[in-house]
Amino acid sequence: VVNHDLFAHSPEINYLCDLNLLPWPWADSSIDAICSWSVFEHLKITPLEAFNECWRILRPGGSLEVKMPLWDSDEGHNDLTHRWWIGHHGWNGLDPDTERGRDYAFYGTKPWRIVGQNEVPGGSSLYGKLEPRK
Amino acid sequence: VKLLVNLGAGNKLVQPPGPGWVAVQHDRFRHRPEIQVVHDLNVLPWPWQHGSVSSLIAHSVFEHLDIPLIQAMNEAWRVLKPSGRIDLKLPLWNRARSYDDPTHRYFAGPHILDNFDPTTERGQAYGVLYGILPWRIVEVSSEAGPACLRGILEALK
Repeated sequence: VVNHDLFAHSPEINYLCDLNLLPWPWADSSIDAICSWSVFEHLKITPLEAFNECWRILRPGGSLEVKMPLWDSDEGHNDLTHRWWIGHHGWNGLDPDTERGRDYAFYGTKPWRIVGQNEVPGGSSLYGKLEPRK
Repeated sequence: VKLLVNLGAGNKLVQPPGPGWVAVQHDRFRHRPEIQVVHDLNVLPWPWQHGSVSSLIAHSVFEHLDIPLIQAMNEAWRVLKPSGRIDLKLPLWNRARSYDDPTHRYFAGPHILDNFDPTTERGQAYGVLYGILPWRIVEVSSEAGPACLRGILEALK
């Protein structure tokens, strides 16, 4: 398990890099599972770019677990470093099995399969589990 | 001949509004063959001459840009002819649908376009301060679609 962050604020952090800089320092299809808990909303790159980059580094059959703040929660707007919020069906655009996924494929979205998409208890975030189609 | 430019066409192509008009479909890359002008709107200047465009369609496009709305509107003002119009759609801040797109960078309040019209209170207060070029609001509606603010503005030049 690699615990990544922007800087080594605690001893368990054993990998440092700025996720705003693309590409991330992992090779194509080199990772089995990514946990991205309340991260993408802090980045300058768009969540779409972050999802595309996760897609690149995950191996076929790998998985991404992700959480982002919902657009209509107070809590999601209390953090001064949040740049992005997500709708309740926010992952649909990533999955070509959904209408949004089909309509907006021209964004250059890498294709995912949505395994889970639900509100985290408390209602401030959307959870997702996604598998890259590759 | 009058030029209509459809900025960030996506899959919503527009036809010339009448005889004597030419419609140009623009997007960031040529994701379909009808796209005629490819340009990243974050890069200024846009590839049209001062005062060369009669009408701009900017439906659901500026919220995807890195540059702020004011800069995009000022550039639209530059390329439009005097009294040329922009037909604008932006996602409203208080609609769930606005947040289903992971590339939306900002969201509009219902009166955000007032800033661009010096005859409104907000336009008077912030227009010069923010470096906004002047427009006349022809119409604004928050009910034009499930999640969007629509405005038609005329360049005052």
